[in-house]
Amino acid sequence: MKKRNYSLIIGIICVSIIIALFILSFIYLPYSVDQMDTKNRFASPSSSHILGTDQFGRDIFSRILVSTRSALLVSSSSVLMGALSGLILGALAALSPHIIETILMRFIDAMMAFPGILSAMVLSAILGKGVMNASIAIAFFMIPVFARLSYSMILESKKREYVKAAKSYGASMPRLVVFHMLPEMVTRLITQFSSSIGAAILTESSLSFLGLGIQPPGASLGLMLSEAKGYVLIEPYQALWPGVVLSIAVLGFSLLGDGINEYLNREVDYE
Amino acid sequence: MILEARNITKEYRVKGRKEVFSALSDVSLSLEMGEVLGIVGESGSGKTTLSEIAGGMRTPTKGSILFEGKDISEMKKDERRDYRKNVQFIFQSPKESMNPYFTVRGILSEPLVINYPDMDKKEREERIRDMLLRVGMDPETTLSFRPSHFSGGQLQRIAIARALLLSPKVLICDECTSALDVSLEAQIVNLLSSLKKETGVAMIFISHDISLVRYISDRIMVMKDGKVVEEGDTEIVISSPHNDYTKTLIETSFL
Repeated sequence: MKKRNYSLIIGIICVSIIIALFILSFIYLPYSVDQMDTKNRFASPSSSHILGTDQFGRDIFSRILVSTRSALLVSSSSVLMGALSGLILGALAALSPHIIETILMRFIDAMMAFPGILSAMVLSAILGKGVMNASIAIAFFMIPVFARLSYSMILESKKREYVKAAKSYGASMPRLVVFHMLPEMVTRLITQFSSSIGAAILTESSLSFLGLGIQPPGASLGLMLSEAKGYVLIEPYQALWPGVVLSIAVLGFSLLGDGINEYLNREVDYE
Repeated sequence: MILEARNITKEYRVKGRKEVFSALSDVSLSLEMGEVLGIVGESGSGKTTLSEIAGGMRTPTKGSILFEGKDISEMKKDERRDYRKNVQFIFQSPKESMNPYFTVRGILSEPLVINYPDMDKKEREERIRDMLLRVGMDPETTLSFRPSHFSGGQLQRIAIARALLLSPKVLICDECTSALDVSLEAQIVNLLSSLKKETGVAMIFISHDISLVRYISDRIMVMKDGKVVEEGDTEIVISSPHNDYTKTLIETSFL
């Protein structure tokens, strides 16, 4: 009996929900994110406000739709930046002479020693608030993970006989990396990429929650949670919805990463 | 003399300790045009290290490598490229020596693309097909498949084709039959010796099996613990070995 890959299935479902919300935010937005309706504060779900309204009478559903934009855009751009610089750093370390390798890797170890969210906070405090700076801060804390990954993978593939063979007939270093090392790395990179997006969404929300990411009146899941925390006892729905969406997003991307990993490894076993 | 290694010593520093481990101590090697030199020895005797140093894949701690009388450490970039092209390897495991993500066409094109960037696609394809036929593979059923499609013996033929495509002057075969079963072993060795007659390529043939080495080599070098213990014409070494280790090797093989 084949074991079903539940991680992949659930991951795909969750990620699809988030992406659907993201797409929906561009084609159907019931209200503008900052459109206040003070008569309708803390409204319960109804036909005009599917998920109700917040303390200023803003439509929660619309705010959630727009929040998925910042969640996805900030996380994917930051992971992309972090992954790229991490990969290059790791590859440089793996292919350089011993001294440079040691310096680079100890530097990366030092970066890893800081808790991610802490270094992201420090960076946003230095760079200032805002979406762009939040992305940079998150990218920065993605660097060591990807650097380590590419470093260890390149060290591994350096020993491969086909890499040796390519070297023996004169393949240059960039050629070796691109044609002979990268294909093997791609599967593990995709896995790491997907899990990292989950982590990045969480970090973006945390930064916004703390007031360092997306600024009001913009919409972000973290910011919505932060605003809702004052009214959580009287109006729990306001905190519930962004919480649910955030959980789906983080869970979805992490499970998708695991699922892809499982799926690809299974294929390798069959060979 | 096409390839010469003079007084090669290779030492490795053991991590965390002061002492060094020497894989090779003061070993010399010489290869004439069109000659086959067999290197025999148990695993760990330094035969692979020696061949990789001779092929420019590793740098020795002490000693020098001369290709056509020129020291490779003093070569200019294009001379070095020429040396790389002229000294080709066939590795132990054909499966691992080919990139699993490439098709055979890709595997065989790459050395040509790198070393003859001006060659057009048509000529490349022609050369590849020609070479495949020479190693006994049908290009039609070979070129567009990946290595996982082939058996070990077929892959080793493809590996030989890849090495010979650059028309090297020296071919280093490092235990190139030990991953194959006995009947294939004979086929590959026969193929190598007929290709040698056709092209006049000089070979360094490394194996732990002295009977195999005897079959193909003009000269034999016996190695143990990073040193050469005996060297000479194949028949002379086999019929009257001086060294005890050589004697044991001969006695334990079915000659």
